[in-house]
Amino acid sequence: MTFLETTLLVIAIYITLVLVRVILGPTIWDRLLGLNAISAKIIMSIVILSIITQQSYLLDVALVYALLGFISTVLIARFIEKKGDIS
Amino acid sequence: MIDLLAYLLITIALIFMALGVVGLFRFKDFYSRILISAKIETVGFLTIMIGFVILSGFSYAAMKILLITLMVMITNPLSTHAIARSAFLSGYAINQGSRP
Amino acid sequence: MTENIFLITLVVLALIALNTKKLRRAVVYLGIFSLVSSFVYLLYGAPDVAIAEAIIGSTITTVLYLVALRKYQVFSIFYSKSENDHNISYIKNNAPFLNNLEAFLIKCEMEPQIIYSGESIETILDQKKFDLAIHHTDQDIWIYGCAEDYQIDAVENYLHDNHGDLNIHLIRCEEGDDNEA
Repeated sequence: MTFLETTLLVIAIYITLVLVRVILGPTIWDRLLGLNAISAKIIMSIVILSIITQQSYLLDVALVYALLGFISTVLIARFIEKKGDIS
Repeated sequence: MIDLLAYLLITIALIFMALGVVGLFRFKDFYSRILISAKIETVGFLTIMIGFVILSGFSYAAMKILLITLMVMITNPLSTHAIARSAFLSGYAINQGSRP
Repeated sequence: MTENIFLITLVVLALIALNTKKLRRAVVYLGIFSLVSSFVYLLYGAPDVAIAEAIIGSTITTVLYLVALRKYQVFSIFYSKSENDHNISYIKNNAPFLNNLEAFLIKCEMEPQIIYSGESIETILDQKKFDLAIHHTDQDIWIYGCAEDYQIDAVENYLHDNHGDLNIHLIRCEEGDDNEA
């Protein structure tokens, strides 16, 4: 197991830990925070995968993610705005 | 030699992100959690991407990684700000008594 | 090892998205699900499918679900307490009839959305789009509802049958412009 594969494994463990926060989170904003964190970690994983397999076209997928994850997070945040303490 | 520098940077970034994950569970207040998440995620992302750029050498892929880093550096604080703004405008009260 | 972790994550997310009660949470869970599933597509060497999953599953589906949630019959209940208290668990323990009302509305195939507001009842009546506005003082419970709403009779009958001991006053507002949520 090389160093980069170990890094990928560690990031996968981080994703599962953040997922626990997403499941436990008392309000919906905690879940959105977890969505944001998981999106950033998935982008890192794609870059690691493209370095491991030496396929640089995988980086385009990471670029698409970086833009679309932002759009979906902002849309959900705007949707639940000004609605009081919803859970 | 240059690979060792990249490995060192990646390890530092992993330690940063571990601190961020611990902070997500340790803080009892939502605003503390979102503060930790915004800062630690951005710094960890920057560090690990610089490590990958050093590791992949001066090539076409390195430029793409730099472009991704630039995008995430712009969009990650913006989306965190959108979440915090949504929570604050909706009246999510700041819990004063929960200092860690 | 890494593949197994991502696959187990997928199964857990799908189960949670199916079993959750609030539709907003299910939208967030499905967003994470499509993110992780497109990474799994990448792990198995299909980058074109991964791009399609990222665009369609993560963004367009989220937008469509949110628009559908707007259109869906969401029964929004504003709950205003006389003291300016933000502690949600205190309010929940103090008002058991609210949980019963929520269960009754779920049985009527509505989706109740209870909003614990710290603002005064006049602000809510003037500005917000509501189906029911509940004002809870020390002795009495004031419930405001739109007069043309056909659900309000069922709500009134239910409250009269099950919570007759509480001092519940149901007031039907006349204006129909603001509260056609």
